[in-house]
Amino acid sequence: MAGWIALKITRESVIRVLKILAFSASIGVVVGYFSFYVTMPSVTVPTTKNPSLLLPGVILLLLGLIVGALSESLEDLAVEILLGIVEGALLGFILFISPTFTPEIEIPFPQDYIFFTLRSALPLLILGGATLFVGGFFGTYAGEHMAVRSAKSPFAEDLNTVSKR
Amino acid sequence: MRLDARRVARIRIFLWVTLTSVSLVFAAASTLSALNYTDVAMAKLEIYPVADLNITASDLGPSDEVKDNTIFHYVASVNITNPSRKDVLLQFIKYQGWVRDYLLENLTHSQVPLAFSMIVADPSCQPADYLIVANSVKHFHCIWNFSKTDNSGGFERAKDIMNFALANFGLGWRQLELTHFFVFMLLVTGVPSDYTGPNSAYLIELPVIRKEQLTTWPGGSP
Repeated sequence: MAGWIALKITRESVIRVLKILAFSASIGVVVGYFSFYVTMPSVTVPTTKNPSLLLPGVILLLLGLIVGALSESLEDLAVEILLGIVEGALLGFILFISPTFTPEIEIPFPQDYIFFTLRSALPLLILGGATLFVGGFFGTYAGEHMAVRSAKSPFAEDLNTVSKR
Repeated sequence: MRLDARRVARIRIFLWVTLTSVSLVFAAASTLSALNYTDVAMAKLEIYPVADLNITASDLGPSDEVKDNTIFHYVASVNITNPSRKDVLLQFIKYQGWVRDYLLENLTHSQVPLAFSMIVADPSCQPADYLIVANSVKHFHCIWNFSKTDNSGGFERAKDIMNFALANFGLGWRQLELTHFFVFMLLVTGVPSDYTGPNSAYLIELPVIRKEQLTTWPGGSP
């Protein structure tokens, strides 16, 4: 039928989407914590006096390597990182307004603070995103290298299938 | 290094476990941070200091007039209730005493219908490192004197107003309208405040608790 796109939902595509969601959630939790860490270092657990971008940078690089090694492709990795950054920014904002979830504390317009948290966490979000991409790129390369070296691995079979097409 | 399918599978499982562990650790840290932040905010809201003031005077004149050697003794009985889950440190208590200035009202012939003058300015009460632990109540006394040697300017002003009210309206110093203003400065412990940078103003103020109490003792009418 003209104008219609047939969507074929296969088991593989569902697993792929679930993996993308899981990886982006992992990235989102870590980025969210660190965006709160740079905004409110005095109340994060553990508390710090001098928040630096080095610690988040190293951890996000390692996270990128892991996620990259487990991701299906670079396209998936890009989606996971972008989704993760958005989720992280949202989590950072939710952590910032967390006292308002108690019935005693009320703020008329908590959404106004989204700009405050975004402004504080923007350097982390930009640098963190770049670090994740760098780590993810090398992780994906390592993952594909492992798959190619291992002839029987399912990843290698996928690669073979793609190359045959 | 030789990589067979089994070894690759092991590496992938290890990476999955690591990723899950990292996510759980950061989820726990985020939750604890939110709870900690909420506790600090609740402490700022729930701390409840109350000061009950008692004033006596010594060396008054025969008809209760204020003399140069009169001393007013202030005893503030302070109760600080801390129902929060955070320990709080009392930094200091400041007090200001104001008296209704019948003299000024009379001199300006009702141009100033109701005047008040500050006579006792900022004697501070600083219990050394006074810690009010979570879910507790602390009780202590702040004692200070108000005399010519302690505050010459304020005492002269008070003496003029009190003696004027006594001579013209028959109001002794106990019947004067007095206003008492207390400021309690407290600090939530475990929250650093020495920051510089874009959010430093907010971070410096975060652990600071400032509470005020304003009470008026109604005086007699002239």
